[in-house]
Amino acid sequence: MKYESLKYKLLRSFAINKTRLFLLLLMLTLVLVFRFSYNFAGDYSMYYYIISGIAKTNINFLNVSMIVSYNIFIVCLSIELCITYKKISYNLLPRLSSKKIFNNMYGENLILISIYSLFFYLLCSLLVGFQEFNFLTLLLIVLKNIYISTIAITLYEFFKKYYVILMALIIILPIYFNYISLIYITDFNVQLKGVVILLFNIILYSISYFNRRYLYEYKD
Amino acid sequence: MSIKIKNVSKKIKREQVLDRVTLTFNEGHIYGITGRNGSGKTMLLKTICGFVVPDDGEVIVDGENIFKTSGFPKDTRAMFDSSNYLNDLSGYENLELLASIQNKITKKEIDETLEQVKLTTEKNKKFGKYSLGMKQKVGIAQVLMEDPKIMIFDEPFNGLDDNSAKNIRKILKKKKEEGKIIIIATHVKEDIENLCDIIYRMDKGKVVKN
Repeated sequence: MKYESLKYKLLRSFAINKTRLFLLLLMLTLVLVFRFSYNFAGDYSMYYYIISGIAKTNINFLNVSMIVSYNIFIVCLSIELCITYKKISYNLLPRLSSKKIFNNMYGENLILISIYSLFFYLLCSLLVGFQEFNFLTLLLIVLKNIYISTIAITLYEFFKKYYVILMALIIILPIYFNYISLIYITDFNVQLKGVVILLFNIILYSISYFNRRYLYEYKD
Repeated sequence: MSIKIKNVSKKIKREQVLDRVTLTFNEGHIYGITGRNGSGKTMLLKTICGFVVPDDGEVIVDGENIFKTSGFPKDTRAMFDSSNYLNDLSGYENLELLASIQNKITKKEIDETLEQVKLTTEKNKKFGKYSLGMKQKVGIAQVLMEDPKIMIFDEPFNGLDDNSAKNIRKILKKKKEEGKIIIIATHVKEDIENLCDIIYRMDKGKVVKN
């Protein structure tokens, strides 16, 4: 398919943006601040969860700041990708169907979010000497981040004028979701959580797909 | 080839932005659409391109109602807001990116189009650092480069100096002789007076005069 080349070029243009580099540096600073201010007391798994934007136990100001910053970072990436697509959609549309544009955008979002999730997980693992490094947890984190970024894309059109509400929803929903699944449903294993989040992703993707005209239709 | 707009209406938030518009555009002609800001010019162009779905009416391009088939007219290129490009890529890279989707033209042809619109010397500069006039030239080149049958321009002369505007008019006249349908919307009637074969004036979503 000819439009494959678009994916690479847009992603390249996206990766070198100054705002994104600034956000990335901010996140790295937070990771380091967190690493050197947190008393692990032997519980490395909690560190992994918090650093990955998932609440577990012992919620305090620093933990919540970290979780919120991480989720905002992921959401901003996806919203910005969406805005980029919306911006150039008038030039893409006569050449490419809206289905292909949407799939391209979603595909790029998956790649982008997966790369960043992997990057942070590896960075965090490195900082704690690869204690409790776990591929299933990594997969769950990637899925969870795709989940919040899909919420962002799905709700973008509905909430763009109420950005604060959108942000609040995106930050609260995954925390709430993970809080329930990780604390109250203790026999809810990692694989099952993965399947549930995957199902959420598929539902959200479908909603977003059928509403894809938001990428170019005039609404104001 | 022709474009037939039949009784097209569109309402956005209680405001009638297009009100029973009926127009026909035939090949080998340049059409102008004038009117003050908010008169419905851009909305009409976006409806022709399939970017806006009308509440009523039909847009028939080459015998096909576009909203019953693909949603977009075939072999059409349009220029709207000149900022709809990626700021981190150069003007040339932006065009190359768009050309790579259908792969109809070569890099040489992109270069030739840039030469036509007189943007060769600045083609490798980042789009974000272009002046408004340069951005307009990228937009015009984007429409011209794949030699489509239908060319749509929204305010193409904004920000262009006299020589550049003269050059663009010359290119468009040549394209008309090749049998293209060219539609230009502008709020400055003087920009298109000596260029267009037919000029329509819009007001409050209606075509009031031609």
